[in-house]
Amino acid sequence: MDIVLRTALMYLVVLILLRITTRRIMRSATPLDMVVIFFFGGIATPPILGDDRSITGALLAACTLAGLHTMLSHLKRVWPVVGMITEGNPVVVFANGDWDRTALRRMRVDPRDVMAEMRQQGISRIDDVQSAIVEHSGAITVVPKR
Amino acid sequence: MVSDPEGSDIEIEANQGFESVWSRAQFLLQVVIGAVVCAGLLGMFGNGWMSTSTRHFSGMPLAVTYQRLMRANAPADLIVAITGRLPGDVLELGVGSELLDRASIGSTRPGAAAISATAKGETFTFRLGPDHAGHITLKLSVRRPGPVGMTLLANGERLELPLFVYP
Repeated sequence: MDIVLRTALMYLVVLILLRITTRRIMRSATPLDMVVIFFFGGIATPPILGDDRSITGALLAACTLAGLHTMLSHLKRVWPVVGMITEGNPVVVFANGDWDRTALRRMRVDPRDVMAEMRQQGISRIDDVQSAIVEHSGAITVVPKR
Repeated sequence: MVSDPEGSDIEIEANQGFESVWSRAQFLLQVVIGAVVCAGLLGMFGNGWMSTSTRHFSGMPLAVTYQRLMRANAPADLIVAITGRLPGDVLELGVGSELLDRASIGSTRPGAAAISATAKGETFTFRLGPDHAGHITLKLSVRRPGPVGMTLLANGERLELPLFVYP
């Protein structure tokens, strides 16, 4: 029982910490983002298993993680607010030639990150961009001018 | 071939047959995962309501609380509670070799006054306090999985404690 509860607690703690720390990990992980993942991975495991080195304990922890993740994925579909809390919303950081400095600061996104995405899409001038959006997945969508 | 035979190397057609089977298998696996987590919460894999058992010695005021379902390579406690006044100043607790073949007793709380080992098992001698009451905790560390017929002896009286160890 204790493993299930400890796993659930650590899952929620790491989820909240990742949510408030960074959202770019899945798409464009920089060393700054990767260090968070490596450390969280290492820090979260010992409190869950402790001295328990059994296969059953590891299996139970893995099943709890999988079960929680599946449950949250379903809940997110039923109640969008769950998705907003766990993943966030898309945020426009550049539109009509102006940077939204407040949004950039809140998202902790640098204009260089947006420009890197522009270059990957073959856009070389900022004047050719209609808007740039930081998606809930962490990806940066660049919409070119028509 | 992953995609439907209707597709080509470039154009991929969804393999509806496979997707349908996979969807059912995925749902079944999710149900199994849910069942495993519920069983874990109830203590079917140790450390919970279903795994904790308390047994009493018939001729002595001693209650033994232990995990009848435990995990190998995971710590577990065996607690002997003195529920009434015991005759004498000493309590001798013997653990049979059936358990010691699979597990080790790392420590006891309070510490034993004396420990003696024979082919039949280990005997821990505890000096009782002035009120002749309290708890004795044996810290178990089980190494090998499988069913175990553990025997506990208290001042010569035998108590059978069957348990199962998960891998």
